[in-house]
Amino acid sequence: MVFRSEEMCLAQLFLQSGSEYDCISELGELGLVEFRDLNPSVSSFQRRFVSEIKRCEEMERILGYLLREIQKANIAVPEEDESPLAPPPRQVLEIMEQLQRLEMELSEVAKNKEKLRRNLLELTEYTHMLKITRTFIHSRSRHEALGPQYEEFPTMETDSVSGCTGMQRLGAKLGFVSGLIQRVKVEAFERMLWRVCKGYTILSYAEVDENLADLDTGEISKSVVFLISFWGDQIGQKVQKICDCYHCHLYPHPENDEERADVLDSLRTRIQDLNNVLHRTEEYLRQVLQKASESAYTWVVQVKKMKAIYHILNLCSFDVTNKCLIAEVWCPVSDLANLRGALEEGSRKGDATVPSFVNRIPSNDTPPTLLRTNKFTSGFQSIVEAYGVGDYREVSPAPYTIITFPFLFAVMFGDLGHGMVISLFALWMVLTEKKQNKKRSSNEIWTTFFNGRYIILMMGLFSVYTGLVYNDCFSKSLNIFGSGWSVKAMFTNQNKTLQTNALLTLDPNFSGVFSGPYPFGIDPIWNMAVNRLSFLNSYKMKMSVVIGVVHMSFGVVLSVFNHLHFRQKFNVFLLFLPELLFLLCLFGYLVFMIFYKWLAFGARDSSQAPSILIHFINMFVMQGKDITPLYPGQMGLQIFLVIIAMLSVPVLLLGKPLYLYWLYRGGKGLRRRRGYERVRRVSEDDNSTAPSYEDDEEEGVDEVTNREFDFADVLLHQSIHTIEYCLGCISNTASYLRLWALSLAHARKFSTNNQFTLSFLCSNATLC
Amino acid sequence: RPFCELSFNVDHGYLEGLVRGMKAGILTQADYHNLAQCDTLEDMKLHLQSTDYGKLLSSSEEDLSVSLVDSKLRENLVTEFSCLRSNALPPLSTFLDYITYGYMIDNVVMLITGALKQRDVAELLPRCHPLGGFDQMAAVGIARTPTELYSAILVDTPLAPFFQDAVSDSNLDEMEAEILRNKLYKAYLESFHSFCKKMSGATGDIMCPVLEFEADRRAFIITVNSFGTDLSGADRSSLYPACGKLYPDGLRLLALAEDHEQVKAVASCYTDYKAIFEDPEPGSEFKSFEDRFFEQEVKLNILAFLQQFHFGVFYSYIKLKEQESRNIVWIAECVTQRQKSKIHNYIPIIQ
Repeated sequence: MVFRSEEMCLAQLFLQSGSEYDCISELGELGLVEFRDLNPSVSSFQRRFVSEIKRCEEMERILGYLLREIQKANIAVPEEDESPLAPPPRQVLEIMEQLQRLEMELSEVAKNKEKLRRNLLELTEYTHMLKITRTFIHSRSRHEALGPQYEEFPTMETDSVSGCTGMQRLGAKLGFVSGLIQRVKVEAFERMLWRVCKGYTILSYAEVDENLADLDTGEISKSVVFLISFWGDQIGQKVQKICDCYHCHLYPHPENDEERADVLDSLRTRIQDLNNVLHRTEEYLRQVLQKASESAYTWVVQVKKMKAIYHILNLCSFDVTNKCLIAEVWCPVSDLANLRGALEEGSRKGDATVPSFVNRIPSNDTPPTLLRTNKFTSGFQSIVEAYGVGDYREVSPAPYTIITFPFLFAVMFGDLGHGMVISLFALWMVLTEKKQNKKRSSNEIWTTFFNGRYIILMMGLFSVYTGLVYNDCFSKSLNIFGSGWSVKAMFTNQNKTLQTNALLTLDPNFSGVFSGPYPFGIDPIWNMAVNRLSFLNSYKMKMSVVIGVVHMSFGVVLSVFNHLHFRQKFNVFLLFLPELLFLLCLFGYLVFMIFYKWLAFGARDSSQAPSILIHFINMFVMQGKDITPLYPGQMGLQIFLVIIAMLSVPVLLLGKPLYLYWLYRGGKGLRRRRGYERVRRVSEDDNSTAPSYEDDEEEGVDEVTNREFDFADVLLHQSIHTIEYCLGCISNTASYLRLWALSLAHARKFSTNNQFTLSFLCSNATLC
Repeated sequence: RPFCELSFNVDHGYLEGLVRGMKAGILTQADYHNLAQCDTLEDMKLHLQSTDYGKLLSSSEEDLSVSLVDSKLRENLVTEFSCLRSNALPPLSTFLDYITYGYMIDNVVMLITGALKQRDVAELLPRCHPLGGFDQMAAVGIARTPTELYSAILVDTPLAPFFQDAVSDSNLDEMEAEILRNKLYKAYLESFHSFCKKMSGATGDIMCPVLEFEADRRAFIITVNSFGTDLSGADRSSLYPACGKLYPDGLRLLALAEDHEQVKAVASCYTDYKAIFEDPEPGSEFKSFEDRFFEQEVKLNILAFLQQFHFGVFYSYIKLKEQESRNIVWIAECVTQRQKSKIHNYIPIIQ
């Protein structure tokens, strides 16, 4: 982790045509540079390498199809540890061909399989239909024997037996339509049939016991077998149409029982055959997929890389001779040598006659911020980035976060035992990180924990430390060094209070009762004391304010480094100084009072110790003659500090805008000479082959003055900053009290928890 | 109900948020500009990938064609609509159903005319708009007269109430089918209009102008299309939806109109429609009055998004998205037929 973001430079890459692909591939593997778009006005489909990208997309589509099929067949795709390199352009066609062949083969087999499956389903439906309609016919013929009401609707059997019925005499033909329909649609179907055919039909239906898959969608649902008998062609057509409308699957109805038996027989054998063929097809499909799955991962990564390379190449522009591509990149200065090496390697791989090379070019643009991280610091960096990314070369706050973030957490969490639990959990994650990384878990909660494993480890370790300071281990105190308090001294003196009171107050004013402070942290005796809470509250509250003010002052001091680095000395006086004065005069003084009270008042005169809060409030209202001062001259000093703090606000608000305005209007004469120097230096740079690019002296000021100056804009910006800072100081100090509040909450929660579980266990034990 | 805005979000807040989010994905002028520059459908696909349509066109294995683009866009709209519909609570669900009735009417009429031309139902069904799909659709061709159509097939569908005026025993031919469509649509629009008027809150304020505009547009188009047919003025006036701004005086005048000039005279009495029938200014490109109606419709629908806590946004979103599909298909059509000069005749939605 570094103090500032990395120094960057703008470089031009001249990529010889023929080896440009390999060069970019090489650079991509290293991840060194950020490319700039050199043809922003060209829309995405008019760029040079669009056809290559399209080819990659086509390959991605095939791969997507392939992966879906592989997943459907429940075959695992083996992942390799190291990701494969982008394939050289010659190999691309080969991969493409392979993929296309696979796709064709697969779709052929899949189509066949689909056809077979559909066939099989149809045959099964047909079988069901035949079996069920037989029961209709039989039950109906039985009914007919009983009642006369079916005289006009002779069934097939009687028809074929008698040969001639009344209906045939009328010239009307009796027809049958039979098939399957989805269970949910039966009622609507029946209703429409009745309405359209005005009752000239008879519908009988029964549910199929098994759940059948739908022919088209493959959805499993309940079906119903129906048989419609009707008169006449007209009605027949209508029935047919209605059946179509409800997506019924119609099957020919057999003439008589013998035919039915025959059909059933042949169906049985056909179903058996189909099952065999289907099984074999599936086997074959599995083999193909198995083979494809072996290289699927490599292909996916390769195609992805290839597509990325062409996207990058689309950002480059062509030079006039069309012999090479020009790319502009931001590159860390320290990595220029690596960049050259990568280009050489790329040229060698691409068999280019002329090597590709780098040319550093000057630029006035603000370079991107690069902060290098490793697995330890990346978590902290991402916490900082959640708030914002610093400007180029600004001081990075992340290194300090490594300490402050876990520490502030620990102040709130402070418990030796719990801290230990957290650290052990984090330690386990850290030690097994290689194994966990490989698993690539997609569980969001787990990955959050895992990515923050080093943060959690630090938080745990700091909690152990603060737990020791608070002397809290699972809300119990540890007596390691022996308490500094002893009640014995009060016994030997035969004190009256000892005999008359049930509760004892240890009086430090008795000699021998308090033998000196506990060597480290809080004396364990406080754990038994009745006034434990008020003691700890007072301590933690003050500690929170002290930590908060120190933390905030540190942040303000860091800004000095920015001002100095950007050569904006005026900012030190016009921004930093008033900011620091405001903070220190108000809250720094509060910290001073806290320490003063700790040092100035001992056990003997503790009853006269004043309330800091009252003094601090009096400081603002500039009163307090009626209370005794902490030290001589307190009133005067306090009034002085408040006035300084109040005065620094207008300086902060108006100082910078007015100074910049002055520079813009009156300071021009002063600048001219420097501007001349600047021009000369640039012309010198042009002569040298590799221009050394350094921050110009007073560049910050130059930049500000050279730009079109908008006073209102600057003033607005500054007033927002002022309001934010002043209110921030006050509200942040209050917010740091949360350290105390949460620490209190944590300790209280677990001590009550302990009490309850213990009393519960005890009561259980007595019951037993 | 007063203060219904207070509880609007309890039932419909999620869907309103959803639809507003989807509206943000409507193509902008810049997108159209880029699309119009394309030389092939592949280019268009590439460009559409960078919009909210994403991988819509690239996921299919078929070759790109205008009809594929059309069906994919329609599929997309239906997916979005069914997502809204399946999450809707009453009365929003009723409102959304009302939107589909219009498409159902179109489907019914298309199936009837198809059946008259002896087309196969299986061939007609894929051409029906999926938003207006219903179970009994395929059986529509069976009916011979509107009465039969009503009593046998459509009585179970939500279209049944719109048949009150449309029931007749004359044989269905193409003309009759067209009249049936207009009668159904008239009943539908009037019913939708009164439904929206009864709605509490801003829904009525937003939806009524939109529906009134729709009613007037139909009246104009019926009139213009009836010139040269044997449809009399009295017949015509029974087809005009009676819920628009033209009702009643404008409609009476329209029924008397006999040529385009007289229609123009009627329109000139109404500020909203005056511009639509005006002759194009010399120098500007010619736009048919249908296109101008579309433009006006888009403007009205955009207005719906200015207010909150009402159902108008759902209707407007569907209509805008439909217009967008028409635009994309138009551009695709121009691109494939190399008619670059007409490519800019689409109707931009968001300026």
